[in-house]
Amino acid sequence: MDPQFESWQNAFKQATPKIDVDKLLSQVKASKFRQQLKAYTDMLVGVAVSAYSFYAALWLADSMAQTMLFITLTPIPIAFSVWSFGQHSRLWQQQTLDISALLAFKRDELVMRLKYWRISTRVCIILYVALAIIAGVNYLLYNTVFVWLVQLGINGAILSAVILRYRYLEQHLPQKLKEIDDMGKA
Amino acid sequence: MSDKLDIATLLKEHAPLMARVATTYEADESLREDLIQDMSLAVWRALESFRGEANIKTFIARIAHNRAVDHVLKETRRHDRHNLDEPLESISSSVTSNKQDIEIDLMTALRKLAIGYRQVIALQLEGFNQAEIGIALGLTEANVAQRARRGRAQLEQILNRR
Repeated sequence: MDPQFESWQNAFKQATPKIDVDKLLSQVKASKFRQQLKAYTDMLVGVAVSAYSFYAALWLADSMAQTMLFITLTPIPIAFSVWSFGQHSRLWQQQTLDISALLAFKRDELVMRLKYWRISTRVCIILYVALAIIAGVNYLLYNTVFVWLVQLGINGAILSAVILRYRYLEQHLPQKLKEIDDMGKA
Repeated sequence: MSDKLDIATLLKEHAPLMARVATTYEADESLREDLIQDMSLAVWRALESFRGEANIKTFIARIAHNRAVDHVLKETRRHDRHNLDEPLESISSSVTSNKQDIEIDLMTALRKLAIGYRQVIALQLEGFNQAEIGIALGLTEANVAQRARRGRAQLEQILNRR
């Protein structure tokens, strides 16, 4: 090894910041506990909502249609909880990828997120238009204005928020992708 | 494999490595502490998938660099204030002030290197050989050698500029 590199190596090792390993260990244990607690709480909430939905199907439903609705809804919260629990665990596995695979994963993640918001925006627009048509029909046939105006107002606010979020992500995507690409350059 | 690895022992042995990796990416002391904590947690969580296909030190170095890259991306987006020229605020008190100047300059210079070069040089300074660096970063040995050569030339340039 040449002397210059050796001197760099010594300087590098001596520049190690002071670390209180016991404090670090307790912080890391606390963080892990908080994360696990949150993950299990989310799972329990999903189970509780599904259980309530099943209970409602058996004891609270007034008609066959309501029973069928609750039965259909029952597996959704628990399935979502299990899926998000699994996703959360997999998130840690991506840290073992090599750097180029990690950056490619992050790139895909950003593109997928934009796709998700694009689809959500389109679905929200379709639902809003459908709601507006129903509101129009109800106004013309039954002259019920207030209820439908409230519905349109609330859903209009939700739709605006979704569109704004989508536009924001779309605008910032090229910059974010560039940052990731720059990371991979040597 | 992972049940034989105890996080307390791993941190005792490898926390300094993670701290040095963090220092090559983050100049701010409190952000660096957060990053070291984040790296330690990531190592612990990833241990579940460690099958001994690489040396544990290489495995930890890979995770540490990945978390550091993630940190840089987040900080760049959040505040656009990732200041690569900022001097270090705390280093080991056991060094003399003269040595401290050299060390600050080396770490500052490392933070000025392109990340692809920085990772290779930092791992070389850590004592990893080319094959191990290749495993840690997912590069071929030829690629590691090329980056090491170019990175070193850049580092010399930066250090000689002061």
